[in-house]
Formats: sequence, C-alpha cells, structure tokens
Amino acid sequence: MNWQQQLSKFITRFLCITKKAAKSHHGRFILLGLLVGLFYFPQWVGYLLPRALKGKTGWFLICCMLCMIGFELWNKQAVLNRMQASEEDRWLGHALIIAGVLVFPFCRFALWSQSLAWLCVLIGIAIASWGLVFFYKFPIATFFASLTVYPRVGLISRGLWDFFTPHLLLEKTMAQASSWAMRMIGFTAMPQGRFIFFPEGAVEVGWGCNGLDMAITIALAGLFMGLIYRQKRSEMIWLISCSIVVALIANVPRLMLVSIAYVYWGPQWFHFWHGFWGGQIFSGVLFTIYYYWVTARITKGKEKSLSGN
Amino acid sequence: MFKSNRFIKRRFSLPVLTPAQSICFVVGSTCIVGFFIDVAVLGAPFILSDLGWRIDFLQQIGRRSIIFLFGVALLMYCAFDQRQLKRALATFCLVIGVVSLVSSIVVIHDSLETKNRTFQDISEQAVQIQSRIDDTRESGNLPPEITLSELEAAAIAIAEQAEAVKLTASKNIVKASASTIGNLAAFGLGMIGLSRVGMQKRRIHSPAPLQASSQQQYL
Repeated sequence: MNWQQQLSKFITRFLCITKKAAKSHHGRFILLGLLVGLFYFPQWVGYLLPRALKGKTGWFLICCMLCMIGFELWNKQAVLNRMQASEEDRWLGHALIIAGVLVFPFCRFALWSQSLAWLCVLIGIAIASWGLVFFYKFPIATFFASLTVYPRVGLISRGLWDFFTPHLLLEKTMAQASSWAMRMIGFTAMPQGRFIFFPEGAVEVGWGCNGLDMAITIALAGLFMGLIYRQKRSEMIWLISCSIVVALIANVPRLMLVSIAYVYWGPQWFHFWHGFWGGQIFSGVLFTIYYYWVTARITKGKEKSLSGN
Repeated sequence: MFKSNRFIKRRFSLPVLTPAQSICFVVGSTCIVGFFIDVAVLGAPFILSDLGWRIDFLQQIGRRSIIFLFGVALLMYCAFDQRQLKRALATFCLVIGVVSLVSSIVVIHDSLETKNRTFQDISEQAVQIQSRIDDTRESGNLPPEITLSELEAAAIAIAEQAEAVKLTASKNIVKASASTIGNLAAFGLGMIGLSRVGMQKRRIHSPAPLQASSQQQYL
C-alpha cells in the first residue's frame, strides 16, 4: 500500500469518527472544544518553531512531555475506556468547554490568554469524557499537559522564581561562588552584587547565566528518566533534587570560563562560549555526566534489589 | 375550581422547613444580600471599560466572595429536599463558579496592563529629569556649589532609583493580582464543588425520600 492510499484511509477514518461524534450531545461539545485547539495550534507552533530553529531546548522538552502523555494514555487504555463521567461531571465539563469557547475570541490579543482558554477547554474535555477521577488516576499526564499548553515554560519558571525569592538572589550567589573559585585558581576576581570585577574589566551575571533554566531542564530530564526506568517516587524525588544541585554547581565553571574569556581572551571567544556553541557543549557535557550517573545509580539499585530478594 | 386551588397551593406555598433549615435560610439570605449591597456600593459608578475600576472591583469581589459562597451553601442546605430548586441552585453555582475561574484571565490582563503603564510613567519621568540635567550641563551656567562630577553621580542615581521604583511597583502589582486570582479561583472551585453536591443524585448513603414525605411538605 503506498502512502496516498494510507493517507486516504486515515482521512476516511478521521471523518467517520467525526461523524460519529457529531451525533451525540457530548460529542458535539467535544468537537466544539477541539475547534479552539484548531485555532490555537498555529499560534503555538508559530511560537515554538522559530525558537527551535534558533537552537533553544524548549521545543524538545515539550515534545518529550507530549510523548510522555501519549505513552501514559496509550499504556492505560483499558483504564481509560472503563472510566465514565457521572452526570455532574458531564455538566461541569460542558460548562468549562463552553466557557473556553466563548472566551477564546476575546483572548486573541496574546499567547498566554489563548493558552489559558485552551487549558480550560482541555480540562473540560477530560472531565466530560472521563470524570474528575482522570486527574487522580493520570497525575503525570495532567502535569505535563498543563505545562505544554503554554510554550514559554522558561517565562513561567522565571516569574515564579522572581515572586518567591529575593531580588537577584541566584545571580549574586553565582557571582560570589564563581569569583571565589577563580580566586582559588589564582585570578584576582571580586564579587560586587551581581558583577564580578577583575583588574582588567568587569562581568555582569545576567538572568540567562544564573543556571536556573539549565537546572529546570535537567530536572525535567531526571523526571523523564525516572519515569522511563519506572523508579519509585522517593527515588524520583532524589533524582530530581540531585539534578538541580548538579546543574547549579556545574554553572560555576561555566561562569568562570565565560568571564575569563570575556576579560582575557577577547570578545570572539566570549561570543563562542556564551552563545550557541558554548551552550551546546556545556549542556552536552552536563547531560552526559548526569546520564551516566543516573544509569549507574539505577543499575546499582536493581542489583541491590535482586540480591536482596 | 378545587383543582386549581390545590395547584396554586402546591406551586406557590412555601415549603415547611425544619428549625435548622429556617436558621440557615435566614443566615444564608442575609449573607447573600449583604454581599450584593457591598458590591453595589463599592462598584457604584459601573465603568466596565476603566482599568482601575476593574482591578479594584475584582479585588473587592475576591475578598468578599467567601461570604457569598457561605450564603449559597446555607441556601443549598435549605433546598436539599426539593429536587428542582436544588438543581436550579446547583446550575447557578456552576455558572458562577466557571465565570469566576475564567475571570482570572481579566485579572492577569489588567495587571500586565497596569504594570506596563506604570513602567512607562516611571521611565518618562526619569527621562525628563535626565534631559533637564543634560540641559544644565550643556548650558554651562552651573551654580557654583555644584560640580560636573556631582551631576554625573546624580544622573546615575536617578537611573538606579527608577529601576528600584519599577521593581517595587511590579512586586506590588503582581502581589495584588496574585491574591485576587487566588481568591477568585478558590471561590470558583468552591462554587463548583457546591454545584456538584447539589447535582448528585441520592446515593446509597442517603436513601431516596418516600413519596409520602415529599408530598407532605407541600401541604
């Protein structure tokens, strides 16, 4: 069978499902909700695609999360088919879908508002189809779905961090730690606020250099690995917290390298290490170390449990 | 004639309430009336398009919403034996709950807008002062007690101060809007919970009322 035949088969199947859905009351509501998704999807992709081409990692994380959602739902298909929404669940779900659909046309002014309306619709669809139990039985899918709805994960984490911590806490700490480390090797670096002063010049530790983005990325990677290797909950918390600590500590040598490059080696080297290539090299090294450490830990845990049995 | 009389009695006479239900009815309706009086007075000239009014109004509603929730819950308890009334109340709760959840979009939009406007104001003021300093420096007729380096220091201080003012302003705005969103979301979830309680059909733990007893209430 060539691809055209497959495509036509897929389309007829899709139309068949749509027709079937349009016959019932509930199905019509869901189709109405999915219409919002249809309008939101180009915006969502339109944000992610240019950034993906620039070499940012956000799209990859979002793809991983979507795969995880698909994986979990596919694995527990039997549970999903058995779940049925009660009457009050249906009411609530349909109300949420209608609210999302009504609000969406007025939300076109920005990405965040559209994503909130879409989130409202998604929650409504889940509640109307499977009931509130869905969120209890599929916590990981729920968590990832709510994270992927808005493609700017970094912005949310930055807002939360700024809200709960004192101003420039991490930048100042990073400046102090890296200048201390540089003094250990013999450079004369003095921290002042978020600046590192050398006799030849000064470097500012900005938001992008504080290591939080990398820490979140690696924490999510730890979560993925914990899920793929089917670890216990306590082990997963351990993996994630370790990953955050490792990423923040690894940020210190990176800062040292970048600031030495800026002050002593010239702007060319600074741009190399601070820009795309430096970031790729740094994250590659960090991910490799983290991956081997996690696999070593997991195999050790398996051996232990085998010998214990 | 007799038939229609009974119909009127069935339809329009108040149900017999237990003492607990009567107390709940009185307290609940007081809460709701109080809430509406508050809202009407606080929001008095209703200018929906005005940003400041909207922020203030939603904040006040968010703060007082728990009273409304409490009143509706008490009324729901009074109406618990009458299916139709209970269902109507539950639907009302559902609508209000969903609307209050969705209204958080308005709060976020308004807070972002206020933040932008405040930042613009601060920047404009800083730029004005800066240009005045530049004018003084260029004209050359400085008062004898002020030197050029002092002017430079003043310019840097102004820039720093503008940053600090922006920071505190944004912190305050974010805090206010976060508390409003939190209140409205808690209220909305509470209302949805109430509506679910009202919509639930009687299950095993509370057996369905006998036909006779439900008719007695209308007599």
